[in-house]
Amino acid sequence: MSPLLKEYLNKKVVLVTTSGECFIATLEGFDKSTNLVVSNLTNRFIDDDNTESNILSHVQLMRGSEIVACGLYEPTDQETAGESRYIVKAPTIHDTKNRVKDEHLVWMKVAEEKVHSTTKRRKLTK
Amino acid sequence: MLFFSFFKTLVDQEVVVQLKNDIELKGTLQSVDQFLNLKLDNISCTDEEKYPHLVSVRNIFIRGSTVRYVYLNKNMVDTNLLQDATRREAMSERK
Amino acid sequence: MSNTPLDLLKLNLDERVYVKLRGARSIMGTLQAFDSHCNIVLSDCIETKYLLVDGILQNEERESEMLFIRGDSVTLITTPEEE
Repeated sequence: MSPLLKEYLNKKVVLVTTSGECFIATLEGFDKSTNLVVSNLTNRFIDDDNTESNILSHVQLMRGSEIVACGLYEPTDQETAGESRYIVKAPTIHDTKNRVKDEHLVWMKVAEEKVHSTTKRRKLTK
Repeated sequence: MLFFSFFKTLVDQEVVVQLKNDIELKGTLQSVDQFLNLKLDNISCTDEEKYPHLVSVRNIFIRGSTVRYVYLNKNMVDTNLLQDATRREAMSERK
Repeated sequence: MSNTPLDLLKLNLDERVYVKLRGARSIMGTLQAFDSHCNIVLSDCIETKYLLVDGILQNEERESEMLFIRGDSVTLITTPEEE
C-alpha cells in the first residue's frame, strides 16, 4: 500500500514520536498505517544517565499514530555512529498536540484588539 | 485525491515542511502517498542547533498526519489549474 | 446549487480568506485549493502566531508566497473583515 518505507527495511532509522521522543532502531516491518516493527531500539542521544548498552527493547511494535517521522540513519565519517550521539543533555522536541495554555483567552484578546482598532478607525473617519 | 495529485506534481521540487512539533525540514520531495505521507531527500533542519536529532539523516519519511504546513514557491504551482481542479473535486464528491 | 458548507467555499476561490488554526495561529491568504478534509492551499499569505506573555498579547508574523495547510489544524475559514 504505502511503499514509501520499503527502502528503509532492515536499515537503521531515526524515529521521532508524537510525544517528542527520539530513537534509533532497525526497521523490520511496517504496514499501511505506518505501524512499525523495530528491533534494537535505543535512545537517539546518549546522555550521562544512560550507559553504553542502552537497548530499550529487542523487538517492538510502534503504533503508526505515535510516529512523526522515520529517517534513514546514515552517519558520515566525521559523525561516526557513536560520537554524534554523545550529548550532555538530550535536547527536547515538542509534542505534536500543540496545546496552547488558555487558547480561548488568546482568541478573546485577539477579538478585543480587533474591536478596539475598528472603533478607533471609525472615530477617526468621523 | 486532489492533494495527492497536487503533491505528485511537486515531486523533485524543494519544499519546506513544518511539523506539528515545530520542527522545520527543508528537502527535495521524493514521493508521496494517498495519506499525504511525504518522503524528503537531502534534508536539512532549519534550526539544527535546537534539533540535532536529524543530523546524519538525509532521507526521511514524514507521516502525513504530523504535517502542519508545507511552504512552496509560487512558480511551482499553476493556480488556475489548481482552482479548476478544486471546483471539479467539490462537484465529484457530492455524488 | 450550493448545499454543503464546503460548496460555499468554492465561491471564495481566488479571494482573500482568513483561516483560524489550532495552537493560536491564524492565516490570511488567497484561496487556491481545498478539499473535504479542509486541506488548503493559500497564496500570498501572512501567518500570525499569537502568544500571551503575562496577559499581554504578542504576535509573530511570517509571510509566504504559497502554503499548503493540513486540514486537521484548521478550525475556521471565513472572509476577512472589511477594511
